[in-house]
Amino acid sequence: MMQNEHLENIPEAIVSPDKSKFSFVWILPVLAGILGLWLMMKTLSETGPVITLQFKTAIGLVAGKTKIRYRDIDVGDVLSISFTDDLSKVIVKIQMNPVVGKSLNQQSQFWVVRPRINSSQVSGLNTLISGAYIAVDPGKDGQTENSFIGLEEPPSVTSDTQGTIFHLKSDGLGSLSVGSPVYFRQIEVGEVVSYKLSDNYEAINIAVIVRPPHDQFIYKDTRFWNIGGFDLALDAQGINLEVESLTSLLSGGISFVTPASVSSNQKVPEKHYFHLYKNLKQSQEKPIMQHFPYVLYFNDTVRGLAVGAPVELRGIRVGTVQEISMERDNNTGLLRIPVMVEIEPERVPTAELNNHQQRGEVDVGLIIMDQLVKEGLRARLQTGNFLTGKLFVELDFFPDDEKQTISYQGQYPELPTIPNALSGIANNLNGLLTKLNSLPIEALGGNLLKSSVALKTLLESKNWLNMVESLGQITKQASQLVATLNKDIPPVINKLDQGVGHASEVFANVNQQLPILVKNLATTLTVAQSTLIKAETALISANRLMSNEGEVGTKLQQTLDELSAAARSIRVMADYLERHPEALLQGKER
Amino acid sequence: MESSSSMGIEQPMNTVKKTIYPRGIEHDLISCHCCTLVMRHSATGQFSCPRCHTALTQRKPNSIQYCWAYTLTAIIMYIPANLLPIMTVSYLGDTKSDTIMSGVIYLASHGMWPLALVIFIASVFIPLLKIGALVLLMVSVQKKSLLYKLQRTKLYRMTELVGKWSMVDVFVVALLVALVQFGEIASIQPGVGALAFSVVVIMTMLAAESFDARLIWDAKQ
Repeated sequence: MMQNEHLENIPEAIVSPDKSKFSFVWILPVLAGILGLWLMMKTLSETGPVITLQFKTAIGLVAGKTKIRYRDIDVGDVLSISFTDDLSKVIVKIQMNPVVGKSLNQQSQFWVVRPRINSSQVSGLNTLISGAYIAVDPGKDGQTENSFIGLEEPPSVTSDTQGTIFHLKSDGLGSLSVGSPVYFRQIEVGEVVSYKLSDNYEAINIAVIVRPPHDQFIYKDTRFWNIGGFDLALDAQGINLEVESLTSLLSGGISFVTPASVSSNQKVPEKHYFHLYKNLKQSQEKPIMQHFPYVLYFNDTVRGLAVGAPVELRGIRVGTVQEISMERDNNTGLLRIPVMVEIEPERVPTAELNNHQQRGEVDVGLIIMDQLVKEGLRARLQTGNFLTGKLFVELDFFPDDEKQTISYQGQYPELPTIPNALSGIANNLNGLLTKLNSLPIEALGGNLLKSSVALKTLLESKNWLNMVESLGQITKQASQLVATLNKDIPPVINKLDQGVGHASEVFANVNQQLPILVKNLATTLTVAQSTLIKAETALISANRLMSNEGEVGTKLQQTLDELSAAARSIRVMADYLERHPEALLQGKER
Repeated sequence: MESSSSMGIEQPMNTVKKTIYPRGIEHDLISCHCCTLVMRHSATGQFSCPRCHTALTQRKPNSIQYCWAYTLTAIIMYIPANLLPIMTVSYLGDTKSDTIMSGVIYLASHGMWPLALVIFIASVFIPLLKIGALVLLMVSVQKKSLLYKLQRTKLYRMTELVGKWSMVDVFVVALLVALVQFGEIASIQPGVGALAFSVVVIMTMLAAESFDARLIWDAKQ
């Protein structure tokens, strides 16, 4: 009860007015609800369509891990990887992001990006670490689709690739492949997109893409040529090696240029096929429309003459060798070689020809040719290049040749020919060697020997000795003369001394100089004496030299030996050349 | 007063103590939280201590209302916390998002059972338990249940105690995000799930905090 006592004294609490019972804490669940709803909506909106892809293999693809990327942004995930019913392919199920997912259509392309190394480029190296991913190109427009067949190789043209596609026609693919670069003035401006056989299997249609702004430089007359690899031409023009760039050497390539001479820059028509020339040179040649076939008959070897070799008139190309064969002449029974050539008058545009052409006289070329042959035009084989031995057909005027005309009897008109300049040389050489061979070299040697003997006899003969003696006498007389002079001069001086007393000064001068003079004279005489002694020695030496055991005799003998050896070599060479005249240019065959 | 409380035998199972003690609220008595002055007050609502002027309430105001609001928030946020990725791991360009359950499954499938169990208990089981416990407590209080008052009180105490440990997951994510930032090689980004999960944990803690355990004992027959 003590407690109760105390409880009596308990104070009252101070009461303050009551507050609203509603609490703002309810905002929290409302907010949470809104947030939850928003998250749900977001997740739902982020879920795009599920699509399926077919690939040959699933290299590098992992379900739940591999991403789908468009412009390097993840736009989907691989859900699962399974097989088709017949196990021939792999089906990849993909959860797409809604933005890209909804724009997928028939044109969409899928391919696996993995490290690829080929001759022209290295790509996808980043996937070495991160693993492969599937790239998607949604494409522009088309029917909505959710089942696709994946590409095995990355496409070279995607929907956002800018540029114009041009079609080329080529005889062969060369070293081109998809992705080979296209150059314009050695700047890479595009690439080969695809190639396939034409419908009639006669050519290859190559599609190239040229990126802007370079695609505007392509007109109807633009020439495309293949720069793949290197071009080593070994023809009558010499050796010609052309390499464009290292890349094109490895992976091929195409270059193009629009000839400056083309005045009308017409736009490329729809579905226009450009011709892909084999090389730059071909692309630069004018298209030849007119051909005049002629046949040339040659009797000597045509080794070194190839189909495609030029026909030149004074160094200007006027035609092409088309065919080389062999036949027996029905009249003579001899083998002869008909060489088919085509004269292409357009290569040499002349005012005359143009005038005729404009008047529509097509066969004017034939008429001109007739006229030219009458003036002495002849064909012959000529060596274009001494290094390679390649021949070409040369047309030139030989007015001295017997008069001939174009024979129209055969299938083709026949142009008169004259022998090869080279074989002419060979013939001349042959003749020269024969003559050389027939030279009386032994007799010549004998004569030489005789001459030397005669010389010896001459030297040893009395006359010679007499001559030497006379020389000695002359010397003696000269010394006598000098002695006399020596004797005579003192009286003269005396007389002078006596006679010219007045001019004593002058005389004194003379007196002064005279001893020097005398001295000089003495010296001169001494020199003359030694010269004479030397002459004597020289004569003796000459005598020895001329003798049979002497040097000259030996050398002469040696020279003669070598001459006969040389003659023998020439004979051998002549024999060889007779059998192999071409060795003159090609050397001995081994 | 005695008669009213004599009827309510608090713990029928507890045979040792059957004595009915008087409760302050039944005698309109209240003690100040600050100066512990015992004062007389019969009405509900706001009042203050006559000695130290501390604002006083007989029970936490709007306890049940607050607790429900927090719990509901927690329940709502629990859904995205488990469905959305809690973190995104980029390792050498390979990006992988993990939810709590996928992480647990990943660890379990790689033989790390103890770790999987810890994460499962801390991140899935305990929040659920807390939410369940809070709902049970609130419903029982609102229904003025007379049953298992002591057990419910113990349950409440446990709920409060365990609350701080459910942040383990959030801490793990926070640590990893801070530590693993090696640019292209490896990096970890927190996911929306982590945010939702921490909201769940905070909400359950607030709910437990706002619940007034005395309400359990206020129920009278």
